[in-house]
Amino acid sequence: MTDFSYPDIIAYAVPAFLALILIEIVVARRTGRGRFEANDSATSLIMGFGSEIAPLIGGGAIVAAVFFAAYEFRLATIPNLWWTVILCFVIDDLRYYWWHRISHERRFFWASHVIHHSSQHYNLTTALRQTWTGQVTGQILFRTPLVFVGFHPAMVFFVGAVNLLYQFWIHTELIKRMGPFEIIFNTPSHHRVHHATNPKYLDANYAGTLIIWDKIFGTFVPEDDAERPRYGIIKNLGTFNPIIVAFHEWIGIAKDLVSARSLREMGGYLFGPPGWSPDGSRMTSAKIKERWVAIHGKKSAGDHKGRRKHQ
Amino acid sequence: MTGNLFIDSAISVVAIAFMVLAARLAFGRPSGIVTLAAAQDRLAFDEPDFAAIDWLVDADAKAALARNEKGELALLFARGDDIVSRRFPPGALKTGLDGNQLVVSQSDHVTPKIVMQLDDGGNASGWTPAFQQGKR
Repeated sequence: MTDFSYPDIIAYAVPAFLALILIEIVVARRTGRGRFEANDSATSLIMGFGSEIAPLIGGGAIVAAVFFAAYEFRLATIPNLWWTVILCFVIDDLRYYWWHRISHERRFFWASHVIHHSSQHYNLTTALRQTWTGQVTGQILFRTPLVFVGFHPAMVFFVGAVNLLYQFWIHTELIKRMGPFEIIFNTPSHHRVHHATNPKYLDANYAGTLIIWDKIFGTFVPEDDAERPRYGIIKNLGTFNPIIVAFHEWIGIAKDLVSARSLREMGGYLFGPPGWSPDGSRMTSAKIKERWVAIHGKKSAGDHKGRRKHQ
Repeated sequence: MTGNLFIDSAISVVAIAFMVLAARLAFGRPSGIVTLAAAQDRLAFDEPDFAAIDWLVDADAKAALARNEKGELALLFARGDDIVSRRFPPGALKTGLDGNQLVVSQSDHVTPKIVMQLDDGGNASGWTPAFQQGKR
């Protein structure tokens, strides 16, 4: 089994994206269980469109070349079998968990990922609100170890696409709970928690497809029916301008680096948690949780061991 | 898709326009209404340790300004159908009071200039220390 060709499932899925978004709009309107706003949706969809164009302009080809070069020096050759594809998917999902978690815990990576969280709405268009600067943070290089071990680059791209597709449908308020399915898989309920800025929900549910990673690494928080998620980021944007949405955190980093007075400060601004500042005057999500606990008590802030989320 | 970048991009743009239009038709063009209650709710969520002692609310319900005993200001303004908040230490917010119109601007590169219509500019007289601190 050396034929490593896989269908371009993202291309096939695009019409389904369109249909599902239209269905969600209609159902949300009729049931009142979801919320859309045209400006917000437009921004999300333009960001999604731009995220497909950006790699063509930037270093997508270069990174892909690195990816294929790593395969030339692989430790083994893993055949194209159904179970190796599943194995690759599970390992890549674990890789996604840590990549995603780092993207929330370190500002350099957060500057790219914040785009996905910048909507105050939570619907299927939010799923398509993707970064334009993913190549800058080198996210694909985090997948290179899989290739180096011996998974074919095409297989790694394919399972990544499956993971991306899976994460589309969970961006909805229409689906409440899913019973036993929620024990193993990421679901709309789990992911609503991830997108929420309520202190008790911060730093939680980084999973792509399998929620088990959050349960293993102590970042799982279930949705509490008594506390409705409020979506967005700690300091919500005051604009729908896609250019500002795409680059606002990078601009913020640049301003901070210019004002930095030492290498330590530069390092903190770049690789510290979002909200880090030399004098501690800004709010990291850890501080937000502490503040919430001080006001409302420990129980209301959640007791999971997750750390920081986003500013 | 077709594999032709130009055609695929054109199809994408049309699809985006279609989805946005559908959202617009289904949900209209809701605008965030910054009433005192809505502003208090948002501020309590975003800045739970901000104990407001006084409020100025835009007569057009587009923005509100709160202050606490420390002289900090909290600005809340409509963005789409939701409300966004910003908190400022004393002296960090630029304000200008012209009759009943209060113009609030800041150096934050993601926040627009806010113009608040006050029912009575005299209501802002108690805020003079905060405004003077904020003027640059």
